[in-house]
Amino acid sequence: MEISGKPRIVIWFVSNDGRFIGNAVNILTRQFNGVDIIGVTAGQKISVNNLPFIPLQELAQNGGV
Amino acid sequence: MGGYDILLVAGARQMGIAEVVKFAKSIKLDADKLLGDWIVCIPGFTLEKYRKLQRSQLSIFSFDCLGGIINHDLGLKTFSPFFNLRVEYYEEFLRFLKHPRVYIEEELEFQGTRHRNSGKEVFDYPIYSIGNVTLLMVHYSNFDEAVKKWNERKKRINWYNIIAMMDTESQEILEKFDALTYGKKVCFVPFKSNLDSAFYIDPKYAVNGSFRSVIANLAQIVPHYYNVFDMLLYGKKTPLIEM
Repeated sequence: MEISGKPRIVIWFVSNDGRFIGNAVNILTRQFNGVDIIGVTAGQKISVNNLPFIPLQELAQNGGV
Repeated sequence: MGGYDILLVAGARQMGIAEVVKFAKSIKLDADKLLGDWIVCIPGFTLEKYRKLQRSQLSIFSFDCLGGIINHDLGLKTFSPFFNLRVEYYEEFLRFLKHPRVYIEEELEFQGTRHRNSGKEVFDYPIYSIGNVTLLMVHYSNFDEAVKKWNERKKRINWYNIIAMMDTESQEILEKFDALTYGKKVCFVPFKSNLDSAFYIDPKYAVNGSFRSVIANLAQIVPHYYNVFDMLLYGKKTPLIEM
């Protein structure tokens, strides 16, 4: 699937190992000249940098629409 | 909220992406949008190349576990039976590579067991042969599982997209490997060579003077030496550091 413009990203925290996520976001930001982080998801509700929490089930329905 | 393009998975490096994909599919998430955060951090990553690699259904014929580790680290599906095992001798592997379709049709024949004590694990693993090629199933303590996995995975080989992968310290073995008629072939060597398939790795990483000891760490070392996406997609040697 081709992505035109800034990719819309949801971050899924599978565990609390956050070693790579910062660099990964930076790299994608550089490669696409910006990204839109539209929310975070996880098995249980979490709060990360005031980003909206989107339950997994909601993401599964309609691709997050 | 609109739709999303990427579901960036954080914290799954240890478990690997396969488990996440399995769960995602069970709740009907679009698995094609998953992307492991550690994969983005592998030197040479671009989303376009990575998605292309995922779709390519690459089969890695690897002399030892290296192919499987690279496959796993990149979160790719396995399309090769050369996973969690190694061939006993280089010459045997070269024989296999010359006539893979003939050998792959052979039934596994049990040859015995060997003891493994890696420090972390102690067990006996099975040895099988296909014709005159010996397979050391070094990561299987369950013999039935070893046979089952081999037979399952050999059916998945994508004969239209194969990369042959091995290592050697011998110029002669390298030349024989390089002469094989594979579009993509990679041989890690501790000496510099102009042959297309020769991928130089500095032997300074060797422990106790043995290049084989480097191989154990090669999965970690290779991505710092070469662009693994170019390597697997095109068999191309793209050094990332000055050699």
